[in-house]
Amino acid sequence: MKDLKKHVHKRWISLLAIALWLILWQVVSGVINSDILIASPIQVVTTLAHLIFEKSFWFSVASSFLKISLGFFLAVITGVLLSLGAYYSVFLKEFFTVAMRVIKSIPVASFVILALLWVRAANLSILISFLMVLPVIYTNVVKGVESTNQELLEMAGVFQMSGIRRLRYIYLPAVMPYFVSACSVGLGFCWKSGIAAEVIGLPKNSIGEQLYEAKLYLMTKEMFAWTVVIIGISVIFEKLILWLIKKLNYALTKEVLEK
Amino acid sequence: MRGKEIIFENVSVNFNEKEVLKDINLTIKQGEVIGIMGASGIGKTTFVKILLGLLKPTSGKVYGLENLQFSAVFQEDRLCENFDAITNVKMVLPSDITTDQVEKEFLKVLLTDYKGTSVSKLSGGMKRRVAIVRAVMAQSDVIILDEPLKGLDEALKEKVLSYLKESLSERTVILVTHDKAEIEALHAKLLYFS
Repeated sequence: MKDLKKHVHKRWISLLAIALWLILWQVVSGVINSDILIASPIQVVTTLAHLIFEKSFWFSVASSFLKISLGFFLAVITGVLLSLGAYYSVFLKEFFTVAMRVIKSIPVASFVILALLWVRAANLSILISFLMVLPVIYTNVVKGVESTNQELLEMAGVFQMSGIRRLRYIYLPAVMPYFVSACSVGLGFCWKSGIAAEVIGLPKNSIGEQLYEAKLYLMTKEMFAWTVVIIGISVIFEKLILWLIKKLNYALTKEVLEK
Repeated sequence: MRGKEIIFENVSVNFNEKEVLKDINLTIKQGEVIGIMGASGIGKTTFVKILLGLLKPTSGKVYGLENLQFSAVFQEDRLCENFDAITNVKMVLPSDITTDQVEKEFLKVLLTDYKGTSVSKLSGGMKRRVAIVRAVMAQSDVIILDEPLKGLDEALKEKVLSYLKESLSERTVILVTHDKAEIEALHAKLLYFS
């Protein structure tokens, strides 16, 4: 009960903070008073209300969403597989770690321009979101596997626990916090880099293309509205993925999750 | 080597040139109960680790380990903290062992109020009893008890000792303790490390 009250209280404070920022935004846009430099929150909501009735809006949202999430899921699968390889082989660990360091230090813009030589603009956001998320997942899962309690592994060896049971009861609980945090960071990365790739590569029917066009014709309200859409999709996607991971973790381990 | 005997032949263990165990020659017969005593740091846990296959001797040989199944109460509880007590026991047992059977064992060591919560929320004494039941219920030829009654009050010690006496017949038992009364209670053969 006390926890619930605390939770509700925290929610109210968050809502209040958001409301204050919106008021500040409205005031600043009123002071600047230029439709080209800044759009007000009310103008953004009105523009959004128009956009959602256009077919192209939903095409763009669906196309960007599918491609960027595909890049994310491919990165998760690859990152987990590579980290398992790294756990079992020192050579593979060094081999992959060098690659991940290189990927991490290359700026997104350089990657996008390079990648345009290798893939079609339509698939660019898949590759870029994949490359941006992969090192995050790999690094964190390796850390998680390495953090596995050695004493519990010894116990499992003594009691001759099967591989499946070791995975369920020892490895997964150790890796899961690292995996969840990697997914949370990776989801933010994949949206930022995916949209940046679309703005440079300009694939047809994409959020990036819409943003670029809005910028080209100085349609500031549309630019703000599309940015709000990106934030919205990114937040919903992150919540959905983290919820799915929690459910999957419970189904796999039946761990007693403290409320 | 006869039956399921464990034979230590001139076993020595050195850590960084420090001799922890020197020339141990010992035969542990099947079903024997051995109580190991000795000062802290004398090598009792090292001896246990060799038995469990967690440590290789620096020199000498140990025969008979490969044919045996072990279970153990470690010095630390070594429980999976995010799971409940029942799961912690069932994870080392064959799948046909039911929750009811585990609960009955818990009752024998007066363990109650453990349901619906992870073991991380249980007291030290409760965790210890979960670790003891886990080792007893696991299928094994040899059970290692490394200071099993650590953290239990006198009444519980007595209860757990009688539970161990009832449950460990025919198994080889290696009890490491600082309390001679525990060795006497289990009618163990004393092996003093000095």
